[in-house]
Amino acid sequence: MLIDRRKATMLIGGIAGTLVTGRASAANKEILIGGSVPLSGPGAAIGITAQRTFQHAVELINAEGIEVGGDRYTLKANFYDNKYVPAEAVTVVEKLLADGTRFLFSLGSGNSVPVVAKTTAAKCLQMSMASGKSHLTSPEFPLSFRVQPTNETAWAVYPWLKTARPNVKKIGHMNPSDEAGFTESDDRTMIAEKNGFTNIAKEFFKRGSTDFYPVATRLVAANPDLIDLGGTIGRDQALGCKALRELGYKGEIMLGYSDARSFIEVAGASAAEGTILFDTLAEPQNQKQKDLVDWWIKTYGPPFPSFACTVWDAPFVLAEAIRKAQSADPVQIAKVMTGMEWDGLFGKSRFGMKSVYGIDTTITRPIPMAVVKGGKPVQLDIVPWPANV
Amino acid sequence: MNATMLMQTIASGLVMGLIYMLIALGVTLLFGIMRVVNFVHGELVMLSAFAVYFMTTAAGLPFFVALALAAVASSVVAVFCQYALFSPLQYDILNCFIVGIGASFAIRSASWAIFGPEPIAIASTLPGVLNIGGVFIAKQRLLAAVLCAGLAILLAVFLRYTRHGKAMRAVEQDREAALLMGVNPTSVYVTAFVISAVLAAVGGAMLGTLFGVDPEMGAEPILKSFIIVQIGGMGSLLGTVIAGLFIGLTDSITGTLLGGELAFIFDFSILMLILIVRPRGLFGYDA
Amino acid sequence: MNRFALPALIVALMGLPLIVHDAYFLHVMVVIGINVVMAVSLWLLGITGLISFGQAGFMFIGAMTTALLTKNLHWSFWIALPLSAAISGLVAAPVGRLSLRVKGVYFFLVTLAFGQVVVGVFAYFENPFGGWYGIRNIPPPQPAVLFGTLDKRAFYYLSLGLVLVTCWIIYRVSRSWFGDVLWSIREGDVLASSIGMDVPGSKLIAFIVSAFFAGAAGSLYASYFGYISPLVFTFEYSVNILVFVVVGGFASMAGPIVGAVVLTTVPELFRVTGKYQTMAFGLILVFSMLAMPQGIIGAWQRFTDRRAGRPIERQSEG
Repeated sequence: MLIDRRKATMLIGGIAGTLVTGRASAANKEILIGGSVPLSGPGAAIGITAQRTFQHAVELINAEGIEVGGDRYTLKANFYDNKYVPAEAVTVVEKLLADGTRFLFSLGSGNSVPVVAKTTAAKCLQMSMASGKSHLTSPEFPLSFRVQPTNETAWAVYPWLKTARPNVKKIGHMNPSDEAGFTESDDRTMIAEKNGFTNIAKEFFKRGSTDFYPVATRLVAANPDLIDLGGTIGRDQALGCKALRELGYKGEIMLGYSDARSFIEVAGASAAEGTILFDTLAEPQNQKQKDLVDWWIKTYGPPFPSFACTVWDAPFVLAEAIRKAQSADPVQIAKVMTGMEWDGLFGKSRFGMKSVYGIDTTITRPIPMAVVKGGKPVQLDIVPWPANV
Repeated sequence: MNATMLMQTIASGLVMGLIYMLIALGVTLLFGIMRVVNFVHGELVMLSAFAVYFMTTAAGLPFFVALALAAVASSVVAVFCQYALFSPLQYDILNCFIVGIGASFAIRSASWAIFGPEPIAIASTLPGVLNIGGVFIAKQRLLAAVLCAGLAILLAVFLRYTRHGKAMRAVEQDREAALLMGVNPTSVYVTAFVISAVLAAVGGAMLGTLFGVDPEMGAEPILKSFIIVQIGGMGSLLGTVIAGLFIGLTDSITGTLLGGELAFIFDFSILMLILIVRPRGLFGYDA
Repeated sequence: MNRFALPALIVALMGLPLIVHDAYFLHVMVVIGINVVMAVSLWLLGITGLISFGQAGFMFIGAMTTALLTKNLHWSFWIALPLSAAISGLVAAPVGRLSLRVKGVYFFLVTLAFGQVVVGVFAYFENPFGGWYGIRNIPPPQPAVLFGTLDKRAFYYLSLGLVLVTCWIIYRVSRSWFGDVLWSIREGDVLASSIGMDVPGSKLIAFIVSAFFAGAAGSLYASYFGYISPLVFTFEYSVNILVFVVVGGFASMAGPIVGAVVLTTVPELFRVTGKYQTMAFGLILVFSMLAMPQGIIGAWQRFTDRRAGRPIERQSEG
């Protein structure tokens, strides 16, 4: 067992072999979807939720199968951990492409943006849940679709704000100091201004911070009527809200992407009281939504993460596009998906926003609004997508 | 920035400083006595927080009972780490550092897998906010501050006036001499691990009420602890206390004045400066 | 090791892309290459007994230099590469001079702080450093037809080339009279100075050389990934490099190489386990520290010693 040159070469060969072989090749009737999501580290919360929800949707789709020509296709989703680190995301995509995957589901703009040039060149259809503007959504990337309205929700929410909270005039913004946060901040301030509001404060914090007092102190001192925590997620937004209230802020607070129950628990019921939650489903409003909630609780127990609602449509849309295109070729499918309409979890949805990005590849759909009352999320309104965007 | 804002910033900073100081005390104790940089300390903070969370919610135990039990559990884990990880490596500083990192990655990942992704928080024992002339202090924060200060004083008393404590200080100052004097190093080491574990448990419980509980929560405190211990001087209790408060204040002031990102640079620049000007820290012993 | 083993290995590595076309495999090899360069450069410093946590900082400086030169000034990568390494080395001079005033165990904290300051500065100034956004669309090296988005082979050879150059230079340094100085410093500063060796000067040179190669690795990283940001060059990354060296072993240059190869490859093998990947990495780390405190090459040395009937060196403190 002496290690000599023979063994050394075998060792390298062995490692090489393991990396090269042993992966499922694209079977005839199987469509491979790769998932690049954070399964560890910050962001694991939404990553794990996304994986579970996506896989369940795929199960339901496969029960019926997808008819293309005379063949019956099924979807197979392989999820990898990108740890919310760009280099890992790149490695994950390399692996997926080498595996023969032609469809990518990617979570987080830090993970989606660095790989979009690669997926486009490799003719791989990419569905991203991420904040992003022209570096993710543009005619340059005809195969890149955004399946979550992130910064875009502001297009629907700010007009609604004018009627629902007419006393609000001055807006303060709080966002994480990264890719997603800057995008959110830029977009939201622009959209707020377009709707006649005045932006009086724009603060950033390091994502994953513990102490929000410094940034909250600055915001409270500016004394806005409403503070938009737009790009914040998870623990950050709960702690931000808590800090603001503890420092005596009496105005409105608005945030989204949250799991309402989790937010209320971490922020504390008194701090969370009155917070406006955009794109948050407080109670299931239709049968589809109810089924989703019931399934999660049955499989994983309470509480139900409302983030799952945002993930739900993506695989169904893909399946629908495959049917419509009658092809398993991503380029054909992308052509069909651009501008496509469908009946989604929240109602009539469509890939649109050509007026903003130059191409109809961003999801537009009704935006549910909720508010925290008595320690519980309560449904307020379902805001339809503005017609002119 | 007006006077009220300044007072607010200072008050917030001192409170945070006390909490980080408590956790840093655990680190300094271990380093001073056995030159071990215990990276797993951050995970003890996290695990204790989870333990308190589950005991107060699922088992319905009152907060301080849960805390006591968590402290016990934390000590068990700490001593286990001592015998499984650090002792076999003969407390070699670099090797212990690496093995600590490995263990902390493993524990963190396991926590993600077991506890799932949703952010949770331990319910406040003292809800409500005090308003002192325009300066707001959440009562829970005040409680945390008082608890941390109290424990630090207790620790100081223990080290100065009890036999065990004196033995620990002896080992810290000069191991060989202490051995010659008949001090039993094993019992000193174990005591050190237990004490630091208890401090971690309290720190974790406090952080859990104020900032929520999640598997990553140990990462920032442990990093801050290193900075604090370094500035204050490895092995110096007083140094850790002062440095802890100093870091808390600096974070708060730079964060409020300059925005969160600059505060980040500031912390480390100060650290570099102090290390260059006075490498052993404010009160540390010569390396 | 057999005299022909090393040349055979090099030839095998050079021929690999001709047999294996798998893009993912080549990608991992490029990443391994970058990690090897980082590990070996850290090792050079490590043999003086100094552990630096600032390597990621120097790598970032190198990456940023290349990014700005190639993207904004449209300079050729082939000029940017040596320049980036040189600038990292230049920055290392004053930093090293100041940091080395600090003794032993405290040194690692100064370097840690330095790494964070680099990140902080680049993160804060969005113009021209890209802030937390980072810098995107860094052009690949010329000729573009070779270094396309999908074809990894050219990058593989570039990475291999950098690895070979780095290893060769550092190997020669460690074997030269200067290397002897470094080794003896590790045994004892006082002893070394007492026989007339310039201890602080030598440490500083080691620090600069090690930063130089970290900068080179950063340059390769920038033009390969095309995207750099403060989230990449973190404290965690510096720790990773250190782990490569410690797990590989300090005793010879084979250590960091083996460490980097094994610890980059193994997590990849575990990638299919999804969320258990990081946990597996942590456990492997713990296991290898407990079972092989002298590193992989240390364990191998004991094994071959035992087989050859030679007396085994007692496993003492590192």
